[in-house]
Amino acid sequence: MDIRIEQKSLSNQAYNKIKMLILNEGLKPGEKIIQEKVAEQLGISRIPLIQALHILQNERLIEYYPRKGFFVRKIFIKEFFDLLEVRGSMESLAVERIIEKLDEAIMQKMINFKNDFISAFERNDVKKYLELDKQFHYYLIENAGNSYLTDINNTFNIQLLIYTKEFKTYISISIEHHKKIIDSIIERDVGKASNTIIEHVEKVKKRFKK
Amino acid sequence: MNTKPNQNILSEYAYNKIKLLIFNNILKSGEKIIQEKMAQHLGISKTPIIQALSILQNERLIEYYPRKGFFVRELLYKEFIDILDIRRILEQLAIKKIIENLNEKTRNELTGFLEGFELFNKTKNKEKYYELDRKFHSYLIEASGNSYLIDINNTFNILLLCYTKGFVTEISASMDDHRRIILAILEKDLKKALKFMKDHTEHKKKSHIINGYKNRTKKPEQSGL
Repeated sequence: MDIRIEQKSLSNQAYNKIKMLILNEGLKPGEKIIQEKVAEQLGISRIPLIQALHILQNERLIEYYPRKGFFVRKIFIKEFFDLLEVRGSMESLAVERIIEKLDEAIMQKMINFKNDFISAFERNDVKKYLELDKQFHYYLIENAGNSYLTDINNTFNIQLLIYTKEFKTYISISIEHHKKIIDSIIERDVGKASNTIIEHVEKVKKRFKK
Repeated sequence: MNTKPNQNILSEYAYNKIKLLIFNNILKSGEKIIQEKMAQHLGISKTPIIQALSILQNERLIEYYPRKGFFVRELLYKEFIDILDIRRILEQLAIKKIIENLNEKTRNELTGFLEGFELFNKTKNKEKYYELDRKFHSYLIEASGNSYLIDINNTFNILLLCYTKGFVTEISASMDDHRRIILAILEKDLKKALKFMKDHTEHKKKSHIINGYKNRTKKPEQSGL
């Protein structure tokens, strides 16, 4: 019994570590995952590593080719657009629900997000800004009170996959949209919020098309 | 080596069969799935049945309780509303994509759906109408061209759950909704189409409350399977 639990937690650790590597592009899209190397790098043995790779394969972060091995899955532009659209839809619903149950605590949280966004942007602190960005989008999904939003987000790594691509381009257009989304939540304006979200999706798409 | 493919085929067979039993409401919400009986019913051994049940457990259609066994998962009212909301945003996005890429083929297909609905409504053919209804909503998701919409719908059985766990809306009300949605898409009127789709799911929420889903407390029926 004990061995099995340990095994499980080892593969869990491996899973988390490899996932971070992929998302930070320590392992690049399309790159082959050389098991010996990764095992050594992360200080884990092969069995939990393979278990972890299978979970990541289920999550579609990596791909397996027979006789070739595991590779970090490349996200092509069409799929990235699909993801952006789906996230937009999910966030529109999240915002709708959050506005319905808006209370002091949420209001304060929104004001804090807005101030932090502005301050990170003005200091040109990109790292901090992106950190906040992640937190903000998770906050919306997690606090909408619809368990399916959370489950869909986790099962398909929707936010995570978007970040691996979106990060590189978009901080200057992002600040305006973030401010607008937060304002419309505070003003309880569902229409304005979802219009801003759609606008954001379209702008990011346009930038990538260029 | 040789037993493996057969094994897979059998568990796939069991998976499809049991899923159908759940979605056709033959296995009732909350009912215990008795493995021996199921094996007998499908004429296969218990091993593929158990494999199929594990997959269905992953899909959250059934639940496993240690020392008790597998049960058809019951949807609580709150969860049902959550699913309808998800369905709404998936279908709204689908409609947006369809309008953006509307071509002759899609136009014809949509017109075909509308004619079908009108016919089965007029002839009061409930069975055919609801069959077309399912096809129509799956069609919207598929025709969107967004692979994530399709995957989310399949993984979480969003449309299927809406059909089974819910009560069906009256045909006449549903007919009005469908007509309005299809015409708005054909006219490329995004705003209207989105609104009508929202109305459609809101109507479903209402009909469920009226049907007493909210206060259902009685013990689940047994199918005898």
